[in-house]
Amino acid sequence: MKISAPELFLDINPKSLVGCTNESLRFSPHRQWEVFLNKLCLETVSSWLKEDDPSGVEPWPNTATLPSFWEVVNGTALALSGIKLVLIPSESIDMDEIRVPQEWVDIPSWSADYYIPVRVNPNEGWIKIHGFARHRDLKSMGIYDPSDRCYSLASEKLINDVCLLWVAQELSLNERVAVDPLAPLSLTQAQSLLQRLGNPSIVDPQFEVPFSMWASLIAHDGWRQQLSDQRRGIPNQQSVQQWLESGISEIGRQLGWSRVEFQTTSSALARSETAEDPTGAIAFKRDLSISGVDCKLWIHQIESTVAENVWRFELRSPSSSNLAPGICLRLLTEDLQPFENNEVTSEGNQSELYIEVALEPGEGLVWEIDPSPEHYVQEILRF
Amino acid sequence: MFLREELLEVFSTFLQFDDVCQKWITDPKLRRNMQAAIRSNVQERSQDFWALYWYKQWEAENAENLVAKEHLNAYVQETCFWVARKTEVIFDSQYTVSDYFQIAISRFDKILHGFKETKGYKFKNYALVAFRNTIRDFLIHENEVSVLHDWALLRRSSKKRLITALKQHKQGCCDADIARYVLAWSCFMKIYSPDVRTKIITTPNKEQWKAIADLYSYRCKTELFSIVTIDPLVLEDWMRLCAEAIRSGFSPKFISIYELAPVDRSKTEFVEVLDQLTSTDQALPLDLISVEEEEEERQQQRMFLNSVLLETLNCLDRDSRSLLALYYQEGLLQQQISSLLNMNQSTVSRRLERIRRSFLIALIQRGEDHLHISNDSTVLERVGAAIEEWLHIHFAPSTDHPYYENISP
Repeated sequence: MKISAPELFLDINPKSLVGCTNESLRFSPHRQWEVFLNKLCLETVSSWLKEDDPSGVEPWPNTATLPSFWEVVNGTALALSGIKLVLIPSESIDMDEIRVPQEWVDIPSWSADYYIPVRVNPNEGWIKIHGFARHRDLKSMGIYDPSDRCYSLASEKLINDVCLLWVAQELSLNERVAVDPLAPLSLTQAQSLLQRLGNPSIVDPQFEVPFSMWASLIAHDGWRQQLSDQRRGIPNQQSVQQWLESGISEIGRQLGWSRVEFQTTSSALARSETAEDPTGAIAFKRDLSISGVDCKLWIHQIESTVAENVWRFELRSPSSSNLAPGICLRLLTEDLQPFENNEVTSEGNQSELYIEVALEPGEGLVWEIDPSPEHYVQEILRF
Repeated sequence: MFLREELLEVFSTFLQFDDVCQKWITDPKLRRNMQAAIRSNVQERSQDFWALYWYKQWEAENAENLVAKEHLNAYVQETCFWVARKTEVIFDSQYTVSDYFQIAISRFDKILHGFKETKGYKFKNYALVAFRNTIRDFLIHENEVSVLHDWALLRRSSKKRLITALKQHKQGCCDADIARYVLAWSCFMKIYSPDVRTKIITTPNKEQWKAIADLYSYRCKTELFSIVTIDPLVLEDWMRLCAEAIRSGFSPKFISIYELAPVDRSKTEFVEVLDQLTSTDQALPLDLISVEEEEEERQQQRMFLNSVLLETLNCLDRDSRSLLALYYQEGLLQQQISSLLNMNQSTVSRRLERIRRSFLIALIQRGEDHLHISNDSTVLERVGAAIEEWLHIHFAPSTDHPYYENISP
């Protein structure tokens, strides 16, 4: 037993209570309550953190993809200047332990510096925090329980002082220890898993397959999105063909995609956004921030015949300036494999980079940029 | 109750409660042991010295030195008593000083294990804060549990608490049985969650029990590879039993047992250790000089901490200081403070956190040389604990707590 500092109580905003209720109703039945707790917890804790750092607190990796996490695992990650936290909501009165799902600890890209058990009491309108655990504590002192695939750490082994989070952030302490990389899944493996686990009548999809397989599946942002959509009964959101026919899907919009109509000239595709014309061709564009510079990603079809389905991916710099040298635009297959002529790197004298690619109907691609744009997630786009 | 003054008594007697009063009971073996220790020491030493001495001895033997542990337990008896008495004054509840005393002292083992985590403070002061927190947690939990029906209670228990409660409640139950109850409980948790619209936990209906039972059978098949069908009614009974176990797990009697009550003084191993010590009259193994040096170093750290924290405290505005006084001096819960000041609990909580943060920052900025603060969260954690202890002791009114020597700058 250690001396514990006063617990931190935070009031739940009544408005947020209503918003979280509505949001959680959009999940599969067995997930709704936990999603509700996660969302309440996220909103309440972020508004407290924002009192000191209004701009530096963001859900990780971004707000749009949170539901894809919540459908499959308990816990919500937050990035705040220099450190990463995972909030683990719980209703337990005793708070004798923190139970962290293995995903948050052992998936390399998911692991965080600090894990905070949060007691959520929606009926009385408050949440309570009394301490936190470090990634290295979970790995060294935590007990792994195979029956629910969680690392648990007794409350007396937590750091029982919320103030220390601020100092830790100030010092940007890295509290993560190395974890083993995940074995990649092939496309066929992933497809068969998605088909099987996407069935919402399976209550605990993660227990159906070995952890390593499950982890590789959901660590892929695009597959996790697809799994979560299927379980929530949402039709495929990744089909760009469908975006053309019936508008951009919800997740597409949330990720920042918008529709642009533009005029093509006969020779090349020399055009600019100002030349937008309602009678022209259709493209989808997304604003990105790459190393603090605003850029745009455009995709549009340049050939659509029965024989040819060619799409063009374009990264454009802000008006009339050149892209910084070394920026690389890359396309990968759905299971993240490179292919011939799949990348192009800026030499510092172009204002745009582009790749044209011929695709099979329904084929999925994942785009990637080096250095990674802010809030980047792997996104499967189907053509 | 009279106060113990003699060094010998302080480290070898225990408080006993009967119907009307408390009295001191001497443990003869501890007394002999302490006598021997004092004899072998030429200089006269303070209580602080001996506390650290026994602590070091306990620590040096990997926490297996039961005698040293018992000396320390004897040493903090008044501390525990005062915390219990204060609790009785502040809280209106069915419990007596004796109940509170038992709850707090039953955590002595855990408290002892926690001491090395703190920096620069006295064992007695540390114990004071730890006892106080123990009783508070008990009261807060007890209050919440009393108004919950079984199904709500099941949802409000941690897995760890459930397992411990079941082990205690169903003694003689093998691990495999407990694993079955726990698996059933996790199926219950999965299927039976409150409706997000109403947020109310009602009694599960027949279909829900059926769904829980089905999930249980399914999990048995996939995890234990055994085909088990369970009657939903049986499963319902299991859940009632789990709830009962959890409920009793929050009661003071249970806490005393669960948290390892003070060692049964007739315990054979304990006697053996003592006999060995007294019969051979062996020299005490610890290097007294190192204890002395450590006590000196701690003394210096205390002075430094005290000066920085006092300075920080004096810079706080009046409201902040009175908030600290309500929490640390009056010993009120955050909830009680919020109704007293007519502000919500969240405001009280955030203000307290902010004030404590300012202490932490002040110490870190100035303490690099004195406290060996490095960019390591383990070290920072000790600093945080030292601040907590300082606040408790600084605000402890001397008339109320005659036993805690206030730190003189």
